[in-house]
Amino acid sequence: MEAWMAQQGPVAYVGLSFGLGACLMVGEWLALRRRQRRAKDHVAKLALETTRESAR
Amino acid sequence: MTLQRTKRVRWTEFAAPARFYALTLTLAPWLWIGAAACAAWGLYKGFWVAPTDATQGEVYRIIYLHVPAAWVAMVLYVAMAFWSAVGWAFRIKTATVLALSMAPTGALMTLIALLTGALWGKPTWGTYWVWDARLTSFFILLLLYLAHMGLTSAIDNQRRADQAGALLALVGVVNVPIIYFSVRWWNTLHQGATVSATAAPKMAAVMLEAMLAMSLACWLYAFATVFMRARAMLLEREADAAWARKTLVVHPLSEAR
Repeated sequence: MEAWMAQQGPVAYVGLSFGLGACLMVGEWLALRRRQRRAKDHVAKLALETTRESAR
Repeated sequence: MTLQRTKRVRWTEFAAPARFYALTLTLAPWLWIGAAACAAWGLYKGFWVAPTDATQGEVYRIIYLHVPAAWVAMVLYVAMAFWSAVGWAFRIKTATVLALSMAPTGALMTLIALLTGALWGKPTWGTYWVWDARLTSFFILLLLYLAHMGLTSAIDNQRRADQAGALLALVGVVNVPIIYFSVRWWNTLHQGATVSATAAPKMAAVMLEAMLAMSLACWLYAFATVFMRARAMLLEREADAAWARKTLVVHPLSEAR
């Protein structure tokens, strides 16, 4: 890996830096989207349960 | 004579979870669009317009990500300590949630700064890592962020967890000036500040423009993700509250998908 990096020159180091940075940021955004969806589902579930209980 | 009626904005109103949620939801698309636009502009300037550096060659372009990520990581820790203190002293839960939301983004930015710094160090210094003052203090910043996240999620009692997190954030903030001044206080392999508020920049205008555009992009990204996490955290903590249910009804298409 290191020999390949050295062979490629600065392009490999710059590319890897920006590639890693972009992957980490997109990963965080996807994880946050998932968390937000789960939080909303939880609120909606609680609201539904309350409505059902009050209807009884 | 006409009376001028001015509507004053009371910023303390945004401490209410419902108002904070609505405000950050309104800001969200603008923050994402701004981040994408600034990143596009910064990358265009940094990769197509800015010339190759006379001494470092092409590898210097890593600074367009490394420096903005490092700035965001450091300032975000100070902001986290500030909002932790506000939340702790005045018992404002939105402030505490905001502080807690900053830790993962701060840790991510610190990790990016460390990784890109290592990838810049190998072709420039001949090594990925040295235990010099700047690198070590920055590594401690990552550990502080991780410790904050671990501590707040390990304690079951939410109030105690928030207080422990606030204490750690306030104690750890002493590391930020150490990071900043480490290159002056000690003889480090890491270079001194290229951009300073009190001195003229030591880099070409086009390079500086690209770096500032990328910094703005990183800041807007950080705001967007912190607010996104804060909104999710508020819903998790206040799932029973009337405002949370109302919010999901008000924004059924944009939010409750």
